[in-house]
Amino acid sequence: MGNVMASSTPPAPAAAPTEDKAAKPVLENPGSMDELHKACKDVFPVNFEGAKIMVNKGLSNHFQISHTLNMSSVTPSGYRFGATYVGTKQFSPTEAFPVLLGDIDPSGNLNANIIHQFSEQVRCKFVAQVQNSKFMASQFSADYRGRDFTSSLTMANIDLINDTGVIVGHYLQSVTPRVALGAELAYQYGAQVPGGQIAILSVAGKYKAPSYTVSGTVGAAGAHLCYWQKSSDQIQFGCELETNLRMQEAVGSVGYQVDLPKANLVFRGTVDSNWTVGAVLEKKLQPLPFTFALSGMLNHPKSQFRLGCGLIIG
Amino acid sequence: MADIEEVPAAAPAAAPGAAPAAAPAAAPAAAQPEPLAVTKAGSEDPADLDDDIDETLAERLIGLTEMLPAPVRTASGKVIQGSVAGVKGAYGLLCSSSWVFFSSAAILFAPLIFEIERTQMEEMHKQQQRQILLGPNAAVSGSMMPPQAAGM
Repeated sequence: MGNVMASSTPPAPAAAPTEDKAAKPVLENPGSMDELHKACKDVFPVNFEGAKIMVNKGLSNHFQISHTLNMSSVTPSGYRFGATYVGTKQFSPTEAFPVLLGDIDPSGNLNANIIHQFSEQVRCKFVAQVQNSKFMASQFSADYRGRDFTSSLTMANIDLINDTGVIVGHYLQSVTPRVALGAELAYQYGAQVPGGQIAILSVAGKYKAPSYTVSGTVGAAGAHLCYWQKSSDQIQFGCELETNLRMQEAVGSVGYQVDLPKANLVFRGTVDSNWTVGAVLEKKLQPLPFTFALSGMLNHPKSQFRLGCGLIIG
Repeated sequence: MADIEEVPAAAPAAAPGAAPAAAPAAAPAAAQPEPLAVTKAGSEDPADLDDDIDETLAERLIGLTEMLPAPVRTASGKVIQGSVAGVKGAYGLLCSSSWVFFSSAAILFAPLIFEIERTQMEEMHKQQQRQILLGPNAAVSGSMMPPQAAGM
């Protein structure tokens, strides 16, 4: 994105280039609203329960399949088959489009994602979930990335027969090189909604400093604040506060991530204000392409412990 | 009470049957001059034994507390009960807080520390191997160097 920016700004007059820079700081694209809290959320572990064995096999540069065995007493055990197809349209060394992701289990429950970037600015995504031969959820979203802003429109669960659905619009604008402000409007209509339709507006902001990022979303539904800090190459911290006004509850959590490339280890841990402690350890077992994952979560008030272990082959 | 025993004993003519009859009659009269008389060990007088058995040890000890005034009694009772409850509560708190601390440390820190220690030990082991194989210079520099004539 940075390279694209440099090629698109017109060349400054040779007389006073530094003065121009001071007057008009170059604003970068702030990323989409979905990615607002991403850096902080990535620090927190994703706890799972039971044993999971996943075999990934790449059939070609573009196509990859995976077989997953889930054995657990909390979530139903089963086998899932997944496939990923990556297309030929390349926008950068790491991103190629279209991307088709699918996950299916023997009884026909399917999760499918299709992501395609039509041009430098426009990206579309379609997500569908089929369970028990019915469309449980479907969502279509389109992002437009401008030079210093991103806007997106998402339509979820649009049911033309029953006339229900959710439409969400996002807009995020870079105000200074470090600050981005935005808003989200969620609109839901349907027979079950009290009054036939409801709209909720929230504002979002992000402050990005070299070693830390503060982001927040405040709306009628509640507030969500995140703080992310990269203390060193090896350790990152994240701190999150979520409040839900409808349910009158708030949860604060602190998480950390330790990367030890020498030990082929990534360790994530979290402590909650609900007195819940969780951690996930991922270790690459060299020289074979195995990744071992171990997850533990202890809920002190309920005295509940969940242990999960997974092995990813390939 | 000892005098009462001696009086019937001193008059052997008095029938033993008269002694128990005389003893209860004489006891209230003799109680005034000798209020603190103690039963002689081995006394065979059943009436006297009855008086002793009526009061158990606990009752006598409880009776001793009557020498303290009521506020002192209630205050010390409350203090003792409070400290017993406090010790029990403190023990319970110590138990649950050490459980929370150690189990959370086992989940959050233990695997990380074990892995770091293991990596460090492997690193040291590799360095030692290199040192044995290639001489002390290789271990210090930490990289594979062609064996030098001076080092070898």
